[in-house]
Amino acid sequence: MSGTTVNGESDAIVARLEDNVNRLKRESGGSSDIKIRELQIGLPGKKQVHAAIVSMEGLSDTHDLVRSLLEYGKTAARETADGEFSLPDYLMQFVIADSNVWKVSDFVELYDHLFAGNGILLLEGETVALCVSTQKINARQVEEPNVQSVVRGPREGFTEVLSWNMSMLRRKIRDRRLWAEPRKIGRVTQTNVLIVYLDGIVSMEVLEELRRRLDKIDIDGILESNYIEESIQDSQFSIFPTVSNSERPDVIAAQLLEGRVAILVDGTPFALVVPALFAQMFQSPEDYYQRSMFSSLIRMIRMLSFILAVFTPSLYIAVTTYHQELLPTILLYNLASQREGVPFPAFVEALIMEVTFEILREASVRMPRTIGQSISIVGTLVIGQASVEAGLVTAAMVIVVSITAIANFVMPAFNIGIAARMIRFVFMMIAASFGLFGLFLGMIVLVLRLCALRSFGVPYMSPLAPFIQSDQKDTLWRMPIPFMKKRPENVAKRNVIRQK
Amino acid sequence: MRLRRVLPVMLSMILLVPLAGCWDRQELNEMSIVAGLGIDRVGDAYHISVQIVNPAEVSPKSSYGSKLAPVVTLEQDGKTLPDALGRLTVLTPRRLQFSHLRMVVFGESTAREGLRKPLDYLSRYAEMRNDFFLVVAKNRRASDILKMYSSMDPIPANNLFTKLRNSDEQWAATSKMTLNELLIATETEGMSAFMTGIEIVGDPGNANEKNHQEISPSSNLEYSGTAIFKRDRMVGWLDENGTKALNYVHDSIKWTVGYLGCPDKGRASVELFNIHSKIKIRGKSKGDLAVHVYLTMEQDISDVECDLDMMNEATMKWFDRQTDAKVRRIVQNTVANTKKNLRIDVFGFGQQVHRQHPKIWHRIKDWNATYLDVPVHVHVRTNTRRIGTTQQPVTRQTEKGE
Repeated sequence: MSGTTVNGESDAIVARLEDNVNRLKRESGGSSDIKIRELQIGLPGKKQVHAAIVSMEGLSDTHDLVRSLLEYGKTAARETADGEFSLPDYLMQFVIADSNVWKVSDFVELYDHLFAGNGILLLEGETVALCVSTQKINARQVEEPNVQSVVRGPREGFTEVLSWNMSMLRRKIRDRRLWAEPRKIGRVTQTNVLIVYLDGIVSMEVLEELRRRLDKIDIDGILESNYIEESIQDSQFSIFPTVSNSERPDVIAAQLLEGRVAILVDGTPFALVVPALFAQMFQSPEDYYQRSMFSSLIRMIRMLSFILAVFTPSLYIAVTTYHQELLPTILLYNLASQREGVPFPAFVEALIMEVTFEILREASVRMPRTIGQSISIVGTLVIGQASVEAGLVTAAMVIVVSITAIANFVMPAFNIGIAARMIRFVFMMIAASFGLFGLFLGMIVLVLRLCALRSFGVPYMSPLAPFIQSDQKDTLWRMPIPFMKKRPENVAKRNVIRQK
Repeated sequence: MRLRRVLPVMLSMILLVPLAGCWDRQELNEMSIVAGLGIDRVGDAYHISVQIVNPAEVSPKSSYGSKLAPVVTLEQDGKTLPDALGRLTVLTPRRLQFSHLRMVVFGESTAREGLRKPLDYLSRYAEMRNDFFLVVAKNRRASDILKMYSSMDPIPANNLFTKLRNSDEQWAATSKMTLNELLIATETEGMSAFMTGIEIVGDPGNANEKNHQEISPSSNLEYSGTAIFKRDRMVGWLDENGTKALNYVHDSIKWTVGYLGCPDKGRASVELFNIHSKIKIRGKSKGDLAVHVYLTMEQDISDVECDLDMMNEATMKWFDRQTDAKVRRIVQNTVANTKKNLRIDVFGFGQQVHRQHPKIWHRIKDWNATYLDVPVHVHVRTNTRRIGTTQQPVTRQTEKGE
């Protein structure tokens, strides 16, 4: 923590107020958002004491602090037992009205408090400074989540403020067993991170592993939870995510109740959850807010969509270029007639359309909202219709790519959708060079890879592989809530009884 | 250790290239889909004709406009079938793709010379599926059949395929034959192969490009009769009733219609369904074998043009007996005719002898010769199920109303 000192100076706060103030100014490069308010505090029976309040503009509101100090000066004639206390203690005990006051004696801590938005009271002749909780939070209000939206269910999403996020969780789980372990990660950004879990339910192995991995992180800055995700994930080069994220407090609360561990990061509305399993990626919070028959059906459709998103183009390429005999005769005539005059092989055709779609998709995410209309017109009309009419691409291929694209966005977990997009291209190449035979070998390799993955020690494909009977109630389908008496056994290894 | 884990993976990756590599990749627009194949034998050479699809002309939204024919039939000679197909490459713009072959047509003279040789190629060629139908062109060369336009389906071979499939289901006088069935029938002692015949009706000389735009086609392809084979050699034709009899005995009729003569003038029509046959061979030795064919069927009365009291149970019995008698007559006439004219067992009773009396079978040298002396008894049992949505015949109703 010596990074905050300059020239090997001692970190200690010195008695001379002026020296302290000058040092502050010097070390912060005279940043204009550091406000220093100097004032005289009148004390009973003593001469006035010179003091300075240091605070960050916009992060803190020191109005109350200043007033209580000045008010005190005016009524200083009152007799008190001031002799028993040192000046800082006296102020802490009797004067400052704010909820939290810390006494610090070195600049390292002082800076921590200062940049967290606390007001710093420096006193002439004292080697301690008082840090007063004057934080003022200027942040986005709680809004409806943008990414993981539901038809029925809570409408609140996490914000960028860690304490608010934690309070949303606390409001959902009012139990002393909801524990939040604070961490500070990032040498420069000093980002607050909370490890949140339900004591007594959480798997200790996962928790220990998480603590170990978090402690290993030595990075200058954490700006988003992905900085942490990438630092703690099991396999750096796996296409499949082994850490899941959510911007919904209800999702995180549900995951905590299942025995998972959440990681809240200050400055981002996305909280991380470990362990993250493959089956979990297909579970939307809405699965639990709609009746189970419907949820089960929709969940199966999601899994079908995943398969479609990964395999449709490759299957189309394989069948039309290697295995024409597999097509019904009339369909073959139809496809063959569409392909008349198309100058590219099916694979190149598919690649052109897929890449075009990816470009369109990326453009629609990045472009300014106001010109969104023009992109969609160009995308649908020009790319879709005109390319078919020009005979560059077959209509069947446009349909295949569209199905793939739509199926891709069905995934409730955005990151599994990204995984599907990437392996799709791999499978297209395999299909183009090896046909169905290669495609099936590729599928085998994919399944083997998925089965070999682990997220914090939990097999990625569980409860399917290894098969866990009791967890099947909430994997491929969801049983009605009264039937779900146990927590997932692959995650919550102890205390699995959910309801009796 | 690590190598031992990685090596199998590497090896299977390398194996992918020769096993499934790009070498047999074929784009849809780089191949010609063969829909029909005609095989004729001219002298000691084969004359083959292939009907290939022109996909651009088949599509519902053709951007080229229907200026070209939807199919092209190309012909070539060769000493063997593969030889002829090889020579065909000088005529075809693209590689021929046989996996979607719908029809194989044999010329009648070719069929009479024997099909064993061409069948070998058809069954050996891996690219061909075996779900196409085989037919014999009556009094014609197969190539003539494949040169005909079809009026409904742009692809004539496809038209023939669906035509045969439909009439096989709904009409007793046609029967489809696939490659596997044919091979089994030709190679099995005591069975006879048969194939539906196809003929050109109308004036084939008019089969020019105008034909497919006519509302009433001046020429068309029609299935008629059945070619009967002794081994792989065609020996003769069965007429419509003969084909019906064949199908009755082979238990291959789903549904058919027939008519009966009334006691007075006029006719009544019946729909027959649920038709099942059972063949029993009775006898203790080669000398006293007798074939019993048991046919059970149900009928609905679909049309009554005569004066019958339909509310009387005796009338129903009468219908039952009439159908019994008619079907029996059809089968027995065919048995007698084929015994007399073709002198072979077209029904495959021999196979039943083999199955039911293997000991006797092994003492029989020439089944076809033995068969000529074996009596065939036909037992038919018909049940009338429904008489339709009206009760008395309309003739009766109107007479009473007057």
